[in-house]
Amino acid sequence: MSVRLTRPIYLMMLPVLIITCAFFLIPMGKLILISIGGEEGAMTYWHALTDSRYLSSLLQTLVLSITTTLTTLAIALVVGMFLARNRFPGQSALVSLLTFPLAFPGVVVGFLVIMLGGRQGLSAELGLLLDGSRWTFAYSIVGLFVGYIYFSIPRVLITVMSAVEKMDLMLEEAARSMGASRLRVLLDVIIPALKPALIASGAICFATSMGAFGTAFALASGINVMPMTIYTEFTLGANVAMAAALSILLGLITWLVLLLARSVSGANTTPAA
Amino acid sequence: MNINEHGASIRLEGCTKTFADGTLALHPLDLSVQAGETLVLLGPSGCGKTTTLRLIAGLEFPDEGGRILFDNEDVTHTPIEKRNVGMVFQSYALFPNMTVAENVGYGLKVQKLKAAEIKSRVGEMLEMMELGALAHRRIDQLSGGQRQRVALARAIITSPRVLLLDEPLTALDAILRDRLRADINSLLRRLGITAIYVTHDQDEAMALGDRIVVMDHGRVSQIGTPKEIYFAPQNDFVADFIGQINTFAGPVCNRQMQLPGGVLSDTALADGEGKVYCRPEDIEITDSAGAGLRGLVYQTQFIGDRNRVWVKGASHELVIVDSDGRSDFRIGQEVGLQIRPEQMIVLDRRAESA
Amino acid sequence: MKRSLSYYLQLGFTLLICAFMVVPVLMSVAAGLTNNYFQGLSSGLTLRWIEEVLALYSDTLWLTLQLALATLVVNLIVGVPAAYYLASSSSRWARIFEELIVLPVAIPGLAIALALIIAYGGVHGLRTSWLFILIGHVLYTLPFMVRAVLAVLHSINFRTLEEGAASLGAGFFRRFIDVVVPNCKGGIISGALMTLTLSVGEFNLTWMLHTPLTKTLPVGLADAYASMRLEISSAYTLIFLVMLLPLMIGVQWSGSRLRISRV
Repeated sequence: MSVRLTRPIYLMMLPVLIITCAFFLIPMGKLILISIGGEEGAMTYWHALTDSRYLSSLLQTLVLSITTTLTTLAIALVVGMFLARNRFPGQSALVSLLTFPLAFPGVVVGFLVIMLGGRQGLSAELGLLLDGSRWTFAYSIVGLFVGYIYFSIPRVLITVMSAVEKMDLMLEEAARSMGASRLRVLLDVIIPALKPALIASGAICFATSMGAFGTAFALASGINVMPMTIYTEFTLGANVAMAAALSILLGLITWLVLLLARSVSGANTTPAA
Repeated sequence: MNINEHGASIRLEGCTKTFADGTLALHPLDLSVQAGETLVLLGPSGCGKTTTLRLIAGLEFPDEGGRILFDNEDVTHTPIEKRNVGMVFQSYALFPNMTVAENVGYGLKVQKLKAAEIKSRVGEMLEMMELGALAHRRIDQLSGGQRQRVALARAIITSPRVLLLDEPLTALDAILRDRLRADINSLLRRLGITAIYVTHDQDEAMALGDRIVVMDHGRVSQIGTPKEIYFAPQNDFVADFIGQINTFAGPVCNRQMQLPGGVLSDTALADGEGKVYCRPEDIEITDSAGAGLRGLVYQTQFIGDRNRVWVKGASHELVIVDSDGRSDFRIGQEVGLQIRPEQMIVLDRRAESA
Repeated sequence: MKRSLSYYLQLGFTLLICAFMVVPVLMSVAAGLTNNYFQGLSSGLTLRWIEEVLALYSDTLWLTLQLALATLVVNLIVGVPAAYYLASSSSRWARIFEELIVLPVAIPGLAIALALIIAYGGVHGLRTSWLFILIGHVLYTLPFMVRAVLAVLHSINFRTLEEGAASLGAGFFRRFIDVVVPNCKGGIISGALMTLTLSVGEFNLTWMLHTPLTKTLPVGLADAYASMRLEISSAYTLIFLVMLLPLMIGVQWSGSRLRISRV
């Protein structure tokens, strides 16, 4: 139904359009121009994809992000289903505790990982007790992984929990009335019903991990994730064109993954941190 | 309290409505509404009744060439804010962020009346609609019937020249609907306002309307008083849509229609293929012996004030007969059907193709 | 009520994950309040690290607050009308704009910051001003405000409310202020809390855009982690958590309120 009630409506969009154009579209445009404006021109992209340093950084980041996503999804599925389905005293407190780190910036998460696995950390103390050596994991890829899981769990958990709450209980009851075992119900009814939410939150988790900078920065590990590579190219290497090209590539990958997930699942996707 | 001297007369001339995607929602419509009349727009979903209402309201505008006049004033291009109509929406559209009193007084506030005057007029209106005790309640604390009355109060307090009601009773349960139907009816009579009422419920239409406009697929099927619509439908659609109706169709020879269960006689029947309608309450069940039209009882249903009987074999379809509540029939029992000629509805074939 | 083994296993796992999330935070809080981390709690509780942090980094606290509030104001003025437009319009352009507005969230903050520096880094006075960071924060948080308000608008039938107000004579702006905005309150509050929370905790963008004179709390934290002793870093983190806590509670509370009100 067309309703002719709203004529000044274009006024409503003007401020946001100005901001988006001036501060997003134009800068991104310039970024693309810079990326092909270096001495290598458009070959910068080719260089970015073939040079072993950049390629290994990309692959490491991809592997890390994928592993993080799958692990987080698994954890969130178990915990999310448990919390959404069972009421017990303290349940909402648990939910709050699990989702509280939602807004922690990556640097803080890195610091917390050091608290857990640094040279004076919890696992180091544990190691001293058990076998006399300090168990340190914070500065290796394990530490990075732990950090990435830490900031991924809250967001994925919230999405999974709300999806579980929306699930129609009657579908499960129908399956059980036909004799399906708990495992069958999980595989045949629950996971398909949760698929959109899992895909959407998985994509966000992946995108966030790909673009995560603060955690790697704080942990100063030898692992060079893409954002770190971009950062060093820009600040230390003064290779603006390469930094720009890598940024565009990274942005393209994350955007495509989110787009794909949205078309498959039709859900709302908003990464953070 | 007299809200209005009387409402405005309304005239629609050649109004069509095409939507953005190209669908023609309304074929050229000419409509004339008398001042103070309650006109009901009746029809199934998608028939164009709501579109017509919205054209009259000023929420939509007719395609080029159409005209809408209130009391001879051309309001075709006047938007709703300036048309001075009162509208009751299907979902009431009460403002959740305001109390009952604030909702009712909103129209007056927009007109920039003084606060004291708004307060006194709102108070009067709430008393009249028996909402006085609810003045400071929030909307979500009201029952369906209460919300409906608030919506009505809000619409009429500004003394609009036309009151538009878009299926205002659809959201309520059956018992409440019956009660409120009577209330709305007496309110409209009392106010003397011109009202356009949209509904898909024929009982409502016949109870409330001075005249009914039966619409189908963007066209007017028939305009008439409730009795005209009910007893003298002018085409298949109206006959079918209003109330229950039985169809008798068959070859006619010598004023007699041949049917599976016998014959049907009527002087109005012309030779050739014939079609006759008849209402369930106008058919009498008699002894099968000697009856011109016979059939077998297929099913019965006691509804309290009548006994509804389905008879098989008399016509090509099941014949529905409303019999006295105290009557009794066995399934399979052979019965005769008697219809008095004056109660047979024979359609004028020429009127149908109009 | 009999609980199966699987129930307890799940409970145990959940508690384990919970511990994983909470323990390091508690450790950090404790470290910020103990005299000497390596000696542990036996060295006694103290507030001196917090005092030191406040002495060293109070400017970061103020700037963070200033930025968060400024971002909020911009988001309210720009985002609410934008959400209204997107909810009212069914045209293809509206859908394209919606995608466009959300794009900054899909792209890593680092890339956006880089783009901003390249585009406006040379503008005299802007590069060293806190406004530069403000731009980044607005770009990043605006989609959340728009989304939150849009969600509420989709769930209430604001079209019909507008028609109701119009039938009573209200013009466009009257309707917007009297009817549309008050009924979006839940979405606006939710979006506002999200904006504040995200702005306070933003690092990826801010790190690239900051200068020594325009440091926010997270940027200060990164500095502290690199160069300060553990107790100071922990105390600083503690202050950050304290700032974040009411915002987080607010976000959770407003989120559940929205769910309940949608009866």
